[in-house]
Amino acid sequence: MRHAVVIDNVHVAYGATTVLQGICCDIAQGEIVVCIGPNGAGKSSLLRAIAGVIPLAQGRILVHGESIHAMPPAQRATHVAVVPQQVHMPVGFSVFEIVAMARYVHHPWYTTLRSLDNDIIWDALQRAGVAEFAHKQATQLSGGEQQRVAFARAIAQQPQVLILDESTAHLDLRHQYVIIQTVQQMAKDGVTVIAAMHDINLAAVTAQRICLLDAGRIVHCGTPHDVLQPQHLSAVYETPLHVVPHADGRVPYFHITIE
Amino acid sequence: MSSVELHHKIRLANSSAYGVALSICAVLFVGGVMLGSVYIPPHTIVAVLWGWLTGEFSTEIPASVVTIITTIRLPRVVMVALAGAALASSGAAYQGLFRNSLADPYIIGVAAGAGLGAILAVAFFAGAIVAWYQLPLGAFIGALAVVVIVYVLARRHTGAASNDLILAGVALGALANALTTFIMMRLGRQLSQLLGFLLGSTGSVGWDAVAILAFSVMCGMALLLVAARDLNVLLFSEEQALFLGIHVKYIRALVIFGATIMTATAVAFHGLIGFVGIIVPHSMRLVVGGDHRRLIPLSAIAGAAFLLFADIVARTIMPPQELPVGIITACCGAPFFLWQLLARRREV
Repeated sequence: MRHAVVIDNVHVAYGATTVLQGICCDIAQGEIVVCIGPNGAGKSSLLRAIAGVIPLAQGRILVHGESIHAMPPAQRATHVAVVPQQVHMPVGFSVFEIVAMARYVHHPWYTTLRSLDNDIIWDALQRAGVAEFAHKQATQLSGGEQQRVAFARAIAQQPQVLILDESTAHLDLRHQYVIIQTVQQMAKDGVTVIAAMHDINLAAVTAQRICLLDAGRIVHCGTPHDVLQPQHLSAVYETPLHVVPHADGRVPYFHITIE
Repeated sequence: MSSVELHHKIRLANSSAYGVALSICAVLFVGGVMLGSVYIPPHTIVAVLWGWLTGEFSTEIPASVVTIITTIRLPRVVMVALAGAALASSGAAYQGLFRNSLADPYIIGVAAGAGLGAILAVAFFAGAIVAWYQLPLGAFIGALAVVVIVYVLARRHTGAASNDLILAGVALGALANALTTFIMMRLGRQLSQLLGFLLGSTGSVGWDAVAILAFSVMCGMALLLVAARDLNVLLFSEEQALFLGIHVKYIRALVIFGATIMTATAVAFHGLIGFVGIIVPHSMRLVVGGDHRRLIPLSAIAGAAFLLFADIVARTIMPPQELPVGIITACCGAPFFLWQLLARRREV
C-alpha cells in the first residue's frame, strides 16, 4: 500500500538546538494520527515540517509520493492544509473573505472567485459551524469562533492532508465535538489527518493512532490502547496519572492524581 | 438578506466609494489650477486646455495666463496628485507587508532614506550620470536600502509585526535626515531651500519631472496590483501565507519594489511629505475594508485628493508666501498618528 505521508528519519534544528531527531512514521490515506507529548516535545515542529514550511536538517517527508519540501508553495497548499494554534484575524475582512483566501491558490491574481469556489467556501463555513457569521467582521469574533474560521479556511483548501495544531484548544465542548466529528468524516472521505493535542482524552477518542513524543523523538506510536498506558505517560509527563476505563470501553481515560 | 444580495450591495458601496473619491479629486484638481497668486476662472482653464490639446488658443486669453496654466499650475497640480497617489498607495502596501497599521513611508524612514539618496546623487554624482534620472535613481537606492534594513531588523525576532519596526524606522530616518542636512549645508544651499526639502514642498516643477513620476507611479501601481490579492494573506503571518500557498518572497519583493519606487520618486521631486501614507489608507480601510485589491487603488485616488487639498491650503493660507505642504500634512497627520497609537494601546 502506498502511504499518504511518509516521514523518513527526519531531523529538524533551530540554529544549534535540535528539536526533532530521527522521526520515522508512515501514515495511510484516511488515517487520523494524533501527536501528544509535553510542552517542547516537538509536536508543533513536526507538524510544521510535514507542512513543508521549515527546512529539514536531515531526512525527507513525502506526501503522496512527492517530497513536500521540493514542491512550490502553491502546489503544497493543494496537498496540505494547516489549522494553526493561534490565528490573529486581520482588520477589515469578513469571515467569508477570510475563508475565500483558501481559494486564491487555485486562480491567477487577476481573476475573481467562481461559483464553484463559492460553493466550496459555503460548504466549509457550514462544516466548521461558522456560516451564520459569514458576513461579520472576523475581528469581532471570539477566540473560539476565530479558531473555527481558521478550520473552515483549511477545509476550503480541499487538502489531501489536514494538519491540526492544538486546533480545539480554544473551543467549548460542543464545538470540540462538531470539529472532531467533521475531522472524522473527512478522514472517512480519504483525507489524512495529523493533529497535535494536549488533551490526552480527546486524543484517545479522536485518533486511530497516537504518537507519543518526548524531547524530539517518538517514544511510542500505536493504537490509543497500546500507547496510552499509565507507565508510558507518567514517564514522559513526569506526572502521576490515574487511569479508568472509558465509558465506551474502547479507550482508557486519564486524570492526574494529586497526592 | 441572501449572500448574493449582500455581495451586490458591497459591490455597489465599493463603486460609490470610487465615484465619490474621483469626483472630489477632480474638483480639487480644478481648484488647484484656479487658485494661486492669480485667480483663473474655470471657463478660462477649460478654454486653455482645449487650446493646448488642439494647438489653437483663443485670442481673448492673455498669453501670460496660458503660460501660467500650462507651464506652472498644471504640471504642479498633476505632480501633486501623482505624489499623493504614490505616497498613499505605498503606505497601504507597507502597512500590509509589515502588518503594522502605523507603517508609513515617512515613519518607517523610507522617505528619509530616499531624501538622503537624492541628495547624495546630486552632491557627488552631478554630471557623472544622465541628469534626468539621477535624482529619482539616487532616491530609489536610498529608500530601498532603508526599507531592507528596517525589514530585516524588525523581522529578526518578531515576524515584522511589532513596534520594533517603528523604532528601527525612526532611528534610521533620523540618521538619514541628519546626513541629508549635513550634506546640504556643506553644499552651501540656502537654509530656506533646505527646510523646504525636509518639510516637503510642491513648488515649481516641469513636465519632465511629471513624466518621470507618472512613469514610476504606473510601474509601482502595476507591481502593487499584481501583489494586492496575496498581500491579503500576508496579513496573517508569513508562515500562514505559506500554508495558503503564497509565494511569500516573490510577493514581498513585488511590494517592496512597487511601494519604494513610488515613494522614492515622490520624495526626489517633492521632499519629505509625511503622514499621507497613514491617514489615507486608514480612512479608506474604514470605507472598503482591508482587501488590498480595493484598498490600494482607492488609497491612490484619495491620496491624490488629500495632497491636492493640502497643496491648495499651503498656497492660500498665508499669501503671498507659500508654506511647505509637509507642514499641512503633518498638522493633519500627527494628531491622527497619536490617536492611532492610543487606540492600539487600548486594544492591548
